[in-house]
Amino acid sequence: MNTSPDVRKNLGEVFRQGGARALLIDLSGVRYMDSSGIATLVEAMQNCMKRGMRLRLVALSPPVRDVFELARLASVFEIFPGVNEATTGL
Amino acid sequence: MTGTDGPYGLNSVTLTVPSQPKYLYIVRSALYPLLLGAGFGKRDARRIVLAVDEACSNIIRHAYEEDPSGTITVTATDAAGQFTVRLRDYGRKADPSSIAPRNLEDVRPGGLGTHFMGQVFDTVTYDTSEGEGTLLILEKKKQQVKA
Repeated sequence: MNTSPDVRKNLGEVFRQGGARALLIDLSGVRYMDSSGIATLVEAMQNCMKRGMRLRLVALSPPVRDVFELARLASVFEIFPGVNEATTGL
Repeated sequence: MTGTDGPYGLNSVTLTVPSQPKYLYIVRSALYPLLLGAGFGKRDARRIVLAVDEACSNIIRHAYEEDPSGTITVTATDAAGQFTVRLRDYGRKADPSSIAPRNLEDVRPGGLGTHFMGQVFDTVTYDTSEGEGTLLILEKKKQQVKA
């Protein structure tokens, strides 16, 4: 809840710049996420869909993956263990 | 933060934080070792911490409507076969009839906090009977503790 506004602002800048086919979000440095963080990523996914972009999430730590499972969103997002795997097929 | 022999007994810890998101890490940091000490595994402890964090966020959003001058008093009690977290605020009273987890099939931002609380805790009780604000009581039976 504390950092989501900053993340949302940065993502907004990415979408304003446009021109990308895919957005990869590396979550390897994230050790804690609440529903506000999930909401931010759901918004990002919806923005990507509107623009015909792929959204791929990379390197979820066990606590972060746990939140996705609690929210039953683990199957909604494209989730990859590392950047190399996430860039395959783009 | 105090250990107390007050109304909830010797196995209780109480702390009070301002109604600001930046202070919620104090609640999370205090709860996690208490839960491990109570016998919960790391995964269950993480989930309980998340659910309490969500409850605090809801208090900041809905009871205090982002007013940073309020307080949230958290009392964690490890006793009688269950772990209980009581969250006391003095903001706008909760209306339990209007609080419901959203349909998870509807993938959209927001509304997950109540779902997390209901999924993690055995009982979630909103007590608005005393004075201002709400006492939210979250209870988890310890026989459901997983290694």
